Amino acid sequence: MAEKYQYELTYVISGVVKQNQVDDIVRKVNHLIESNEGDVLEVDEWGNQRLAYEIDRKRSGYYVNMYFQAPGALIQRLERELEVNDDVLRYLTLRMDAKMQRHHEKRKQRQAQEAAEEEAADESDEEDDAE
Amino acid sequence: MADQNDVDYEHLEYVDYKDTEFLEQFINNQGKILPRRVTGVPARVQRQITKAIKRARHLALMPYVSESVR
Repeated sequence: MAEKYQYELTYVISGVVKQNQVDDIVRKVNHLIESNEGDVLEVDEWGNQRLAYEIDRKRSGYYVNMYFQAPGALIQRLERELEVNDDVLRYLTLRMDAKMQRHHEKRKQRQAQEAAEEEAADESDEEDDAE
Repeated sequence: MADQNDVDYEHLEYVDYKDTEFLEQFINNQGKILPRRVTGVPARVQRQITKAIKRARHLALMPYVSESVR
């Protein structure tokens, strides 16, 4: 069995594409990974964002940031798929080394903590309301 | 920039292209990457910052040329 590595992939779908088509693309990408001995670990959709510069006359894009494990041979096919799709404006695949993985873990923890703090703040609000 | 060097760059392990807020400190108002003689960060970190900015530019998270000069 081929050795698996952890990857980080970010891609930008054109902002004019409808939501159901966006979901189709995301599903297709995930399916391609999973049907080729890969494991999708995390999919984080940032949603529609303004682009820093115009690409093919588009000013906004739908960002998807994801993490997965897969054998290296899959990457070529995955990038080919993204390249061919005209709705995908940009993509970036990075193989994660130990430093990047540590950084990612820390970032995730920080985000989880922030979310928890926010929730705690919401709850105390509710308690105030109850009084 | 060089005199307000209170961030612990020596222990900075990885510079993330997703953290555009951090990276924006290292570009000028045209969107150019500042040289190390201005930023004053360690060479290792400067290399990482440069790479991260270029990745962010590719994904249109940061501009190649800022809006004001275009």
